Amino acid sequence: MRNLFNLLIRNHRLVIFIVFEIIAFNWLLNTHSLHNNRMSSVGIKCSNSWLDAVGQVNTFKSIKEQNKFLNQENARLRTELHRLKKHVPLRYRSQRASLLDTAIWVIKPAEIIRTSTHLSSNLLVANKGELDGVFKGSGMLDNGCLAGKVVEVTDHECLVFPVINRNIEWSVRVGEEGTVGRLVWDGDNLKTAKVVDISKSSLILPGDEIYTTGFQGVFPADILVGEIKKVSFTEADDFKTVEVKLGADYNSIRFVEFLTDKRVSKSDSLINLIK
Amino acid sequence: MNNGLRAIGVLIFTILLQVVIFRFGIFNGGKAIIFFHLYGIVLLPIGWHKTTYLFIGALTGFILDLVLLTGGLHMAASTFLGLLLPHISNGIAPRDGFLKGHIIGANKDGWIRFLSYSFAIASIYSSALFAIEGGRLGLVFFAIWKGVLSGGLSVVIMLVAQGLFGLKRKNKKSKVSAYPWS
Repeated sequence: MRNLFNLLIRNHRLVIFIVFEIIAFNWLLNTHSLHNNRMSSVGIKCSNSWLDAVGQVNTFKSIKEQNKFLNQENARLRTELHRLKKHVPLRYRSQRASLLDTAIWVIKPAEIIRTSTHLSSNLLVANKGELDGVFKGSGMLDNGCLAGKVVEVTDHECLVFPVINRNIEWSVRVGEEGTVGRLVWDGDNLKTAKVVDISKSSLILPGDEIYTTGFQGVFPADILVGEIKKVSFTEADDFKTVEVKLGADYNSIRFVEFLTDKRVSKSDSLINLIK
Repeated sequence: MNNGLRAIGVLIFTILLQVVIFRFGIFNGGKAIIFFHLYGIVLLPIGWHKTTYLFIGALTGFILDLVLLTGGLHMAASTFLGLLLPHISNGIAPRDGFLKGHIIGANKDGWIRFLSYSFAIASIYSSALFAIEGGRLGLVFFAIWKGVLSGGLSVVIMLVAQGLFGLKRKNKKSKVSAYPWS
């Protein structure tokens, strides 16, 4: 305190000058509206700048906490997404698939009521039939992935050949614009199938996805079938054998969707004409 | 009469003249204004306590603001001038410095020194006043320009006043006769 007084006494001239100037400027601000307004605007600017700076500091301090909350929110949303995915009838994986004409393809939900998974010719029975809009030749999706084909229908039931049936083959494509091959089940594993007739020269890597070609008329093109697990070939063979992890899970299959092409009768009649 | 009291009297008189007559000395759309009361400040004795100039400056400005209704403009400018006044006088002082209580005048110190001193005071005061009046940093250079113009005009009036009243007439007739018996 004493030092402060000494400092003030030492600089008393400056202190007096500042006091007089404060008085003069105060008088000026009270009598001149221009100066008053300008001082007010300067004050507001300073105040805003200060508040802005304080706000930025506070934001910076809370970034870590916000980041933690965001991560938690992301995890929650991811879980929610996975939970909801099984209710989505189609999983479109490419631009072309998004162009699917829903006016042509009719989707009907159904429930699997009988299954057999231990045979080489497995079968599924669903609780929808011809009167429900499911016809012979309709395709079946599980979790948006290719799962089977309707081979027989009654009024309220249908018999489905799943992928895990050795008596049926599927036309598939590696990637969105890759080689076309045949998907067959070798009867070993419920979770895998094989794609054959893939030429040696085609570049295929594990992790690539397999889609439907749409050539059979059962499914539209670009419906996910599964993911390549292993690629193998021998010197004696001109083709690669691709092991595919199936997207449909036959161990837990229950709620499925049937896809029916409205044009299928017209296409069949055209084919029959040639025959 | 004491030099100090006489200087204060002159200052009051110049303030009076500024208020009554020279307040109307506004030229070129306000770019050049006469501040004749500065002549009273120029004629203040040199060497007083520095704080005294501050008080005198502030009081002069206060009176002008009260009478001319300029609301603190003159007070702010003249307080600033009061702060700088000792430094200005030091700046124009001869090598040996001024004697304490010396009043600067064209007769004793020469026209150049008087002109420099009064022009510095008038310019600084006017520039400060216009800068405060402008209230914006962007107008500082314009304020200095106006300050120089006003300072020049005020100095002309001061030189006239100095010429009329500041110079002592030389008595041609010597009081001491070479022939005391005559």
